[in-house]
Amino acid sequence: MEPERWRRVEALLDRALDMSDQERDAFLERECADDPALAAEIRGILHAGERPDSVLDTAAPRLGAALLGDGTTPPPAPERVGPYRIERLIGEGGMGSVYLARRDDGEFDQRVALKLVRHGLHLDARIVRRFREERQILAALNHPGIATLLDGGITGDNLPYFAMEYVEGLPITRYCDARALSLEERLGLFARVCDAVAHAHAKKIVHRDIKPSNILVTDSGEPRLLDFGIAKLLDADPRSTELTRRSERLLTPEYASPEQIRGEPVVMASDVYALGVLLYELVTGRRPFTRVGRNAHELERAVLDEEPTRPSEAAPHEPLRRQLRGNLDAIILTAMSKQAARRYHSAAELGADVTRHLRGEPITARNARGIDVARRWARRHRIAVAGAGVALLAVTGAVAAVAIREAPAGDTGLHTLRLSSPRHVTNEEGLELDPAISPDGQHVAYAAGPEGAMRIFVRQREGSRAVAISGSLKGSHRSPRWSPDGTRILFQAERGLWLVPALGGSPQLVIGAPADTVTAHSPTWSPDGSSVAWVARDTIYAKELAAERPRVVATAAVPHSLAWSPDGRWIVMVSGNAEFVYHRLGNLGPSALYLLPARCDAGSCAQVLLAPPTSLNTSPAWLDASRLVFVSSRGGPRDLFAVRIDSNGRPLEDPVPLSAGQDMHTVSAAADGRTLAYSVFRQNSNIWSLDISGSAPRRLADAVRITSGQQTVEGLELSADGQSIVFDANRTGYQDIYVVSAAGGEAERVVSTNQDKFHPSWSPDGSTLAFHTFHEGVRRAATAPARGGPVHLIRPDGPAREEHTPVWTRDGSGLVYFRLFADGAQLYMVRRAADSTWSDERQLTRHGGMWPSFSRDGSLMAYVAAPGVVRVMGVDLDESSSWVALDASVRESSGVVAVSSVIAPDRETILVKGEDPQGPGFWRVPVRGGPPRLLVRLDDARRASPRPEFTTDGRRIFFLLSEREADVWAVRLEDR
Amino acid sequence: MDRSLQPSDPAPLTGADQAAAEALFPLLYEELHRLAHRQLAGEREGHTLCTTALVHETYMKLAEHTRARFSSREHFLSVAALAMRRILVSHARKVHAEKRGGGLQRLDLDNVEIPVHERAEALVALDAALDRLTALNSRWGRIVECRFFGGMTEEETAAALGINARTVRRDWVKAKGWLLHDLEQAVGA
Repeated sequence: MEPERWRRVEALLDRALDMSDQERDAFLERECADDPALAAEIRGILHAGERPDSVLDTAAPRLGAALLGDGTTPPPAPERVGPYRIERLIGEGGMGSVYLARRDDGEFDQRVALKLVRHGLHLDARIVRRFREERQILAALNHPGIATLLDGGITGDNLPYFAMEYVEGLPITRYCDARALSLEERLGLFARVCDAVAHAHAKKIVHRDIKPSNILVTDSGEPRLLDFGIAKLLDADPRSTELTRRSERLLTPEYASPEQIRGEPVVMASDVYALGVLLYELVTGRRPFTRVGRNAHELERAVLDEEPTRPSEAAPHEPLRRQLRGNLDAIILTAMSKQAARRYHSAAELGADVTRHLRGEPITARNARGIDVARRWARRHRIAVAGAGVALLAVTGAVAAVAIREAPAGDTGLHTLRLSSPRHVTNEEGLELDPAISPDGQHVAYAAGPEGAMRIFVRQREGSRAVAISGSLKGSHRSPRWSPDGTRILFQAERGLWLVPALGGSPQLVIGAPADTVTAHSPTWSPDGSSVAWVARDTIYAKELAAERPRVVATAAVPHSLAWSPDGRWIVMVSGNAEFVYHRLGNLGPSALYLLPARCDAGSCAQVLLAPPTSLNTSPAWLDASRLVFVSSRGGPRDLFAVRIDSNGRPLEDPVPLSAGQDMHTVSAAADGRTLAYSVFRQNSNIWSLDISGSAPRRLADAVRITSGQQTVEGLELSADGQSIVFDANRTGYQDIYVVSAAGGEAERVVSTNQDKFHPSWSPDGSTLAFHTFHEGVRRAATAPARGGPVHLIRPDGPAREEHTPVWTRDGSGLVYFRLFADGAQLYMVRRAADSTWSDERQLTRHGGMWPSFSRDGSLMAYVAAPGVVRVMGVDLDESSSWVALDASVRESSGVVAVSSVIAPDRETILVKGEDPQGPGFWRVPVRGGPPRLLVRLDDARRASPRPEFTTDGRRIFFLLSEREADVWAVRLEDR
Repeated sequence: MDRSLQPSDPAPLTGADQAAAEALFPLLYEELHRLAHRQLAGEREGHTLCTTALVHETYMKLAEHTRARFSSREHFLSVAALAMRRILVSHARKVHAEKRGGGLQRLDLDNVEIPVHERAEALVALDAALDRLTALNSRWGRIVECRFFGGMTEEETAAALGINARTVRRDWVKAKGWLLHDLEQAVGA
């Protein structure tokens, strides 16, 4: 809706709301004399809004029940539809039901599948239209591989229906398995499916929902493509496009292409993608992104972010792996490229390549696209390649160059933009953030230093030493912004926004924060340098530097990261997730980009949405008066996107990606719109250790590194002999299990499967590892040999209840784990029977329990009953025998609130991780209770991991530290 | 990643409640989702699922850990409402995704599927309409989220959004009317 019209709608609604019907009619007639449609709209909105029992008043609880819980009963089947006698219901869809029916009017005797719009649907007009579209599409198709449309009509109740050839068969995947088809037979069958899809493509029809259940194979081995229920006629009229686009959001994510998940227009290559997934599943038996425990949302993220495991690596056995390596890897990965332009252009091309492979002829995928596939692999494997520190930076640099050369073409007005010549501006250890490139592109200002006390530095784009310019003001100095003439820099620090000469000098407070507890942040200069705009709380202010008072431009939800356009008309802002920029850099919560007119007064103007809050969108920077770049996670990793606006500020097209896999944080552009500076931010966690045998508390600075690498570690446990640590880490993408010497060094991967495994625990004899994995969305305990081998759930047929962090009892006969409930967690134990099965689950606690650990002799178990309450249980593992080692009352005296605990092997003391008023740390507590003694102060907020897990032998403590690295890069933007 | 047991992170520097709420969103989302799944798994028989009850139950569960992060219970509920919206809508999409192909799928007797019905589609359509409304007037959008998805009263919504109850009442009528009108237009178009 036009912003002006919307303002009018709002005003009219507001005034007409309190009127009686009569008053309202007269009022609207008067006010909308020029626009009767507007009067009707206002009347319609108010009538609808005043209904007391609308779906919006009553439906939420019922919707919840219907969607999440008890389903509804299917509607009764009609007896007859037109000339057909209904035999039974064979399927239900969003639009209606499908019945097996028989025509019995004597003309034919044929079984058909009859699709009928359901009676009384809430949105029936729309559904009816889509139903008609499906029928039209089917009528246009005539191919042996596509179920034929036979007949159609309208029932006595005015419900449209159509009849199709009834196909008896199995979904293609089940058919292949049931008949144990060879690889060649599968490929042959797949090529015929490609033929059928190619027929639709030739008619400019995109199926959009290709998946095994929509491809049935008959007894005689004929594949039939079904369900054009959401198919789309390319070049159809825009209204219908809008409809089908809406319905796209309903797809199964496993077969949906990245562009479908993003809600972007579908093209023939979207079907090619789904065919690629189908071929993947046909030849490996697995779906590329399906993993135990993933919900639909995570699956969608995976389709957008993750490169699929190579089919040859996913295959279950080596002979098959050999057959897939090479051609078939290349064909499938080409069909499944994230970018539609890199895929085969149609199903016909894909089918032809499969046929070529079958005939032993050279395929096109490798020649044309093999290099791309290789490069993408290089990129994916940087995680495995990269070590710590310098090595990491070097590899990242190389990857940046590759990724940027690969920046996609797209088919928009921004498609000629390319990033080139990326180079490090900073690569010190630690965080360098908020790069602002000077208007002439020669210098970069940025924030660096410990979190909470960052300072502003300036250095030349081409290297040179950094100069600190922001002085000794309190607080963290952030968000430097060059004045348009390049002589001064505005930044935020204590009490407000400060101005300092670009070469250093005394900062002057120019914008005071409204109160001590409120920060003024996100400054931006007007293009003529006379004014600045900034944010405090939820309000955007602007002020001429010479003026007394600021004016309010607008208010918004969590506004930040303002940028004033070069023509002075607009201020672009981010709404939501200020934390990503200012505090918790790992927070990938969603945020939106809006344009607001810079002249706007006190929020009277409509804001134009540039990027919806469906992903992280942040740090906008103007290239010129009509083009912006910003950082977005819409493509998966945080990358740079460009967008163009028209004279009304509306985006002209979907944003175009300029980089791939860069993990960017913020970006800025020089006045020429050609030179950019951006920061890249990454985070790891690793195991470190400290000797705690002395009497004085240790500092984090003394900690010794045990593991290194780009990974996230969650659980860790020291072996009984104190020589090795077992831990989980996601070095390859999956959380696998590794063992490393307690003295540090190379870790060895011992258990590796295509699903995440967390919190490994050694059996007392060191032979078997227990851990939890996700099975159908629930954490389930599993075991695997410590030297590597298959993973088994301990109770594969047990109830789907959580078995979180299983820990061995010291006699090796039991596992203790915990289960989360709405009101806390409780501990449970299972025992291994003589026949090696696990059974007899017993609840150990009723008053809370998590993080169990045993003394070496197995006589005592410590656990955390609630935050701040550590309990100890005797050998009979009965809560009635437990006593409190550290309880809430200690909070009063010592202030220590424990979140996790591990009992020392000698059973004299318990080590706890927790927090006191001075911050987080580790303490030692006597088993029989008593005041905690500080062991380690986690005195570096930048490195301290919030995770509760740690392990100890009583002399040393092993715990997790996170490493956060951010560097500034400069890059040229070329327009070819 | 497995995050459910992570203690709450330190308070944000910005001091903005809203930012804190966002940081907590994943935790909340996971907790709500877990409760919803628990309902599905039938772990607590006899309870009829009700989104309002879920949101309030989540509040009880997380209140202890999160009180430092929120200015009030109402503020928490408003964030929970957003989480509930995402969960319901993603379930609705899933219901659709798993629909029995529009066509000739044979009925699998050994494969019990979630019944498919039009409500899922209605909810997805409503979600899209709510996005459109939010783009026009974000306060109205938040009010609908709180009232419809969070099951919050007028007073709770007012407290959560920092506006007075009369504004909530008036905006609710307008926002509701706009949404219903928009959906009907989509049908009639």
